[in-house]
Amino acid sequence: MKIENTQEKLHKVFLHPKNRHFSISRKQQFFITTTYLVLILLATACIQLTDSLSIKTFALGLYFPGSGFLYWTGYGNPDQTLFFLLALFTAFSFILSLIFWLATGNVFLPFLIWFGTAVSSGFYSYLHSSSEKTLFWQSAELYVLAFCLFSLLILYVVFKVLQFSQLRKRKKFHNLTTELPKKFTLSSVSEETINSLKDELSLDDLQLMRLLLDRALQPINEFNGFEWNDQFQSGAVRYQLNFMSYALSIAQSVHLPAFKGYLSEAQNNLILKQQDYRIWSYWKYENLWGNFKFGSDPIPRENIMYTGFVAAQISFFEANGNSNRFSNPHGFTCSDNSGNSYSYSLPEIIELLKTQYKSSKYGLLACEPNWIYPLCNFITASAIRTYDTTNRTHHWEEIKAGFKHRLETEFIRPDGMIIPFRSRFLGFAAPQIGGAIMQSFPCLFLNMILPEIAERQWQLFRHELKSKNLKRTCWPIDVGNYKFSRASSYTATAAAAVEFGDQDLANELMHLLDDECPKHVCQSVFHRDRSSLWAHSLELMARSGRKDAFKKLATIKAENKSDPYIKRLSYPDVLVAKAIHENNILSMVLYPGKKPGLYSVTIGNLNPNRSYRAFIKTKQTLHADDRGDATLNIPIYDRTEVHITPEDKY
Amino acid sequence: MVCCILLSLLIGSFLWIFKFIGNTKLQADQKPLEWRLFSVEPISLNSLEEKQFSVRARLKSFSYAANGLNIMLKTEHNCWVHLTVTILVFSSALLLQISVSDWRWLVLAISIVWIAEAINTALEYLCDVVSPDLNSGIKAAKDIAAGAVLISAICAASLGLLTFFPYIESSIQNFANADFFICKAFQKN
Repeated sequence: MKIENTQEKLHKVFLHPKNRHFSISRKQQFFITTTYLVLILLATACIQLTDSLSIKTFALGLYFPGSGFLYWTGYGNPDQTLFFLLALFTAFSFILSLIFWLATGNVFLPFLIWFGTAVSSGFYSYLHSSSEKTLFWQSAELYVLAFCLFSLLILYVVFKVLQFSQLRKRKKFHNLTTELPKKFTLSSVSEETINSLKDELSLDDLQLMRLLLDRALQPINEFNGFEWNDQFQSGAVRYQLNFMSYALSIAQSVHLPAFKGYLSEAQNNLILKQQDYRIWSYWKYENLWGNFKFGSDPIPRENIMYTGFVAAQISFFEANGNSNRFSNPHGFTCSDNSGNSYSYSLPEIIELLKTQYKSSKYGLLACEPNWIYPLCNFITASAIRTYDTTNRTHHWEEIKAGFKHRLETEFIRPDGMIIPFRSRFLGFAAPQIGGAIMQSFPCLFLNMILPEIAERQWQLFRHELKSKNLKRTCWPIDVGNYKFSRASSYTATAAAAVEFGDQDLANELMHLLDDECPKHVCQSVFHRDRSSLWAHSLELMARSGRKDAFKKLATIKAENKSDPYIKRLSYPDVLVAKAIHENNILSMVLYPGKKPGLYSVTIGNLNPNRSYRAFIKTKQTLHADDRGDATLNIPIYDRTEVHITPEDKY
Repeated sequence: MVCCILLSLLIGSFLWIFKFIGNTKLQADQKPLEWRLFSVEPISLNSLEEKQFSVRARLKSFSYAANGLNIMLKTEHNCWVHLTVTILVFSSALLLQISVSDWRWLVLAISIVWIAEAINTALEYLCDVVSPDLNSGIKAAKDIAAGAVLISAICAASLGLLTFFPYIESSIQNFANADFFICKAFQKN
């Protein structure tokens, strides 16, 4: 393996100098904190200046959710405990509402709880204003104010301590870079390992692929075999459709570029399934309670968790030389139950995304209303880049600089960790939750758009991993179905490892997966216990991926449109492990899907009316018809290699 | 208390949202990954014989039955009529305080209509799957099944009339007698 010189490596490894200051988010944090302090000041002024008990209680309720009830916890009050519990319960509800805001984009609920309980506590005081003074906690406002200011101080100190430790870690990491390249051999895979990797899928891989194909090839409006959880978060069916399609695309790109047939149909179906109202109906709720807008059209405003992900699905599909029907006007149409239809084409979606990126203050777009997830943005940007490569456009170049700058300065911490998500409204970022997957998996898609940063982030991740137990760094919850299993963490990290040529780590993760989630083969289809459909899709990505496979898909235009390919064969009778057209030879490796037998395979894109030779076990001659199609009957008993060449070559 | 009402509403809204999320489930399949597009391998008789008694499986069979009734109630408009009539019959029987032995006839009458309707609905679903297009044979099958429902409804109506008639008659008589006594009382005054 070529070892890059130290200077080059240093350039790659060093973190962006400006990411010590989150400029925009810091401003937003300052604005929010100041607003809160002004609110406290106004509430305190109200309490001091008025004699009205109801206004005093309301104002106290503005300090923090439920604090208004504390007025009624005086020693003489027989309901003292009840009011105290009510205050606690409101605070707990507020925390729940914040989680709900994160999960569904409902920005309305936290405000409703905070101000609603302040108003209700004020109203209660209004109804009972003639009560004895002993019922009230006279100095409640003093204690509540002290509590609020003390909490703010504690939060500030914690924030500073974390920042200091992150900066120290950053410095340590930069010092380590001088010992390069020994310390940071990026790709642990050896030259021999790379050579030993077959360019065809194994029978295991094909059986796993069948799990996805089975689901994709059923009628468009049927969703048998999918995991229906909520439609807001990571277990949503749209993500299962996305990642199934990505996995099939990468398998096609690496092993089966000369196979369309049912593989192309499956990806096409997975895109069409995204048009189903049940998949995107969540948006009308999120749009209402997050953006305060009516309307269910999921495309025009942010919502990149649908728009960007679907755009990536279509871009990868088209990049592999499949149909470009989704690029035609009205190619992608979403119809709701009220008879409204929203039609777009891929170019229109890409244009919309680009326009939004250009005007975004944070450089990145929100998925849930007001929540910005870097991972979702990487996938969306990879869609734009792949589209550019296929269609020779330059949308990505227009937004790249802003995207990169904001990513480095707002979404990567001083110690180099990628922030899981940041609130656009509050400016605050979430702590590092989710374990290894939150650092490793984004690198996979980052490699498609900003490979130099992706490589650095992967090195950082590997460096962090050195001192930790691999299993423990993987989150024990499968994000694909919220059940207790490390399957999604193992497979997502393995898929990323394969993209960076880190085969040793990928193998180790697959062993852990085998131990924790044993596999079953049922009716020649592979599935694992305690593993979500999403994790199965990622497993196929890990199994069928290769070093820089995603990056190549996004950056190298496939020039195989005029090459012969497998046009038609019956599913699941024949499984294709390899289909490549090189040096005027169409090579394929086939397996029987159900039982051995004689199966017909139609080859398309041959030169019309020309003769070809097929080398199976015996030679066969085939003649292309007027359309350039020819059908070949092939006995498939086990692994069967077929090579087709023009007859006049011999 | 206003605050308690407000908090209940808030909790209610949480629960409603979670219930709503739960309702978005389209498939109640417990193990979706075991679903296969082509189920080519037949179930062996041995495996059927070896099946052991399981309380869970029995309880699940109830859930299937409930699901069937739910589908019937949601999709068949005739069922809404049956349901209304059933409620009316039960209310009348309670009002008229009919005897236990007469309750048996009413239960039988109501049951035969529901059973016939359920079989008719199941047959219609099956026919629609077997032959989605127009087919004279399928039409005849559906019509005959509808005829069976009609027979059961006539039968049930007859049973109902025969059961209720003595009670209605005595009620009318009581009512008339009461009127008679009231009139007499007025005449005396």
